[in-house]
Amino acid sequence: MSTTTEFFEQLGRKGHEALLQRVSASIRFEITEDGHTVGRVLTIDHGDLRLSANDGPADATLSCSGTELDDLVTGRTSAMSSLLRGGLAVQGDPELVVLAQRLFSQAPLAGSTPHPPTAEKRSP
Amino acid sequence: MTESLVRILDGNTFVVSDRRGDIEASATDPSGLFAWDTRFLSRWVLTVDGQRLTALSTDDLNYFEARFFLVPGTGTVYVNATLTVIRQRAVGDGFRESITLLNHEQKPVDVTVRIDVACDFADLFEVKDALPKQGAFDTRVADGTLVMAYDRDTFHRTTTISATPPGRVDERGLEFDVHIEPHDSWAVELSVTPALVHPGAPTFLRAAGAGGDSPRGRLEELDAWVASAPRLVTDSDQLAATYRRSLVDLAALRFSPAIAGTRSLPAAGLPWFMTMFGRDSIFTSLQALPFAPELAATTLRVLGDWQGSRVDDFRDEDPGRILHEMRYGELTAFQERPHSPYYGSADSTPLWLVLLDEYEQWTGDSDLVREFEPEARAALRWIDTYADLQGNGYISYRRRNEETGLENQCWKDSWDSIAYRDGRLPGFPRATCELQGYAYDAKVRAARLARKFWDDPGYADELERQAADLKARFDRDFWVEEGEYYALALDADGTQVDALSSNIGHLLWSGIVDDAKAPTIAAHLLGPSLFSGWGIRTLADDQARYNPIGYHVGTVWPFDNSFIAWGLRRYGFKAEAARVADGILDAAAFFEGRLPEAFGGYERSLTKYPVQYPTACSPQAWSTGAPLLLLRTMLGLETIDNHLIVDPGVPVQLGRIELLDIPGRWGKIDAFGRGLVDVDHPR
Repeated sequence: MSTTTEFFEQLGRKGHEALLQRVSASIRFEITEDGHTVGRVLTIDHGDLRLSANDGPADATLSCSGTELDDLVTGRTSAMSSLLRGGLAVQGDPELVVLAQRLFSQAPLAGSTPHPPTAEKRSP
Repeated sequence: MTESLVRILDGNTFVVSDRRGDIEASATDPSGLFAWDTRFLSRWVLTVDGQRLTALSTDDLNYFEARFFLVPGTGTVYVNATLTVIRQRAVGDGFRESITLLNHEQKPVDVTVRIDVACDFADLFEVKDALPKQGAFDTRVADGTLVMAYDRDTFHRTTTISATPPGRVDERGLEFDVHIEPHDSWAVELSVTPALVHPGAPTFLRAAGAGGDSPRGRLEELDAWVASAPRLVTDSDQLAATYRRSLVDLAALRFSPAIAGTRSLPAAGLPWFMTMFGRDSIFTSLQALPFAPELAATTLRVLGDWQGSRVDDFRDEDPGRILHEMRYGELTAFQERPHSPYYGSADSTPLWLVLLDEYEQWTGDSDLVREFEPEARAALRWIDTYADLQGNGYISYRRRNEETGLENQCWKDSWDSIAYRDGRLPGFPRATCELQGYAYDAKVRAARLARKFWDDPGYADELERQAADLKARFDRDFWVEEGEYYALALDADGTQVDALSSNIGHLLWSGIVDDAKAPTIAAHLLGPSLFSGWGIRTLADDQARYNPIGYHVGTVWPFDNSFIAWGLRRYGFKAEAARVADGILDAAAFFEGRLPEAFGGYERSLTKYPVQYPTACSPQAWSTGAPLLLLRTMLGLETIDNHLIVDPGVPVQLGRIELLDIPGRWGKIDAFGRGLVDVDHPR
């Protein structure tokens, strides 16, 4: 399965993202892979997520390649680096780009130090 | 920074030139046109008939505008003093410059005017570290316009230079054949526009400055900004001038960090730090809260949006951590530097919580506190988990990015700032004392927020228990029996790093100091080894590493002193706080109201004037904010429930102080204070 398909499938299954509780907005993703572009609109309603294939307007549009998306989702690149480099293009409300990063993997980055010993013990 | 440089700025864009208006940057020289941490112009040299010019005078009209009066020729004898050249330059989406030639002769003159141009597209980090470029340069001449470009993979940057009326353009500049009648003039308007030329970037990365693009619009905006701040009425002309200088400089340092739309927060300082810093933006927002509370709202929102969400060693990121620094240059774009953003700060997370509570107490903006509840909880979890590197219940730091990460992740971030009394340097992790104070204050304040706004009294009780426990442990583990003060830090073994430093003043501000010990701490702060007469030294003068011009080991930092004065007030030391305020405000007069980042720790009676630290940044946001916070502490402004309490402690020398129309949840209130506190400085 391609990264793009996988990303959209996971997003479709997610249902809710607690870190987006304060967000009610729509984000359009336009991902280009092998010469054609797949577009989806994610509607966020106080953290509730709904993915659709409509072509309507969104509060922000994020466009990039499938490879760039893979780097963003896994955290190999940050949205800011990608924007500055021209890998990711954005139109509309820029605050949503920052918050969209919360939809990506929260897993520790490959090769990064595991949680400190206290991370689990002291967490409420 | 030497005083011979002229700096103008707007938002993230700034121009640094010599007093003639010329730019001749070398690899490591910080002059040029900078936007988004990139130098878009490294050479900009004006000649008339091949001759350089001499400056008669230079006016910084505003923070975004400068004017240069020049004559052709250099040296002591002017080759042609019958010709005057006026350059006027304003920043805004690059800059606009008008060049006017006045012929004072009774006959016509014909001259060639030329501007030499070059762009090195250096990242600010490359300028600091002298690194070579990896991409390709290109120069194009088309339709009277000069376009200089830099490309590296998908990274494209250009500088476009055009003139009205148009001149001859070649790859190294623009040239004009000028004929001027007797007592007549000639003028040209030049435009220099930097651009990020990939799709999507322009809308995201606008070089946003308040007030639009025209100098008039910005001037009106600046006047409106100053007028919207509380009005200061005072017997002291010095204080009035310092207050106005602070407001104007704070306006100049406002910066819209891409995601905030037209809202702005304080950038750290010119020239290296025109960007968002967690610590600096928070401290400055705290200082400015009674004067410009909207800065705090933007700071909280933007830093909250960028809160860390994963473990990433390269960026020293953890879930819940508030960022340290954001950068926009090429090295950040290609992840050769971790500033996208970089999270290596141990204090910005608890300080963000402190600002969140203080902001609500002043403004009553409970919506923001409710909206950012998940971020606040994540920040509190970070304090208890990721920050507790040693499992001993204290915040400590050790970088995981060993190549380009920061070694010292507290405000005293130079290599030798954290040392034992005898000068030895401890290993890592390091748990500096002020971090524990911030954590204590963050918990106490978050408990109030949990009870009042998050509908979670159980969590509030738990946070208060944790805070009380932390205070008791801290008093036991950090108290240096022999000297009767709190240690600068605990080292990796939990041993006290026993230097006497200004950090103990921050402990008063945070409220972590045991009431019975507060008089001893205050006595140290105002005692001869820490207090210079101008202010409190970063390190006491009887410690091994003390150096009056050592960056964090002996200099006096105005920002540091302003928070210590607030701390002294918190524990009831009104006269001591007034003494600190008086010393720092006296020092400000020597810098025409613009306090530098730091000045020498020499004894006041020895130097008679404050000696500026050699390479200090100026203006710097938290130095600009220091007089504002000192005004607050002198008037004793505090909030209780929905009210503003005024309890003045004004030095005799300052006479009467009135601060009118202080904005807050109460609407607008005036505060008055009379100089009754005798601070008795040696003059």
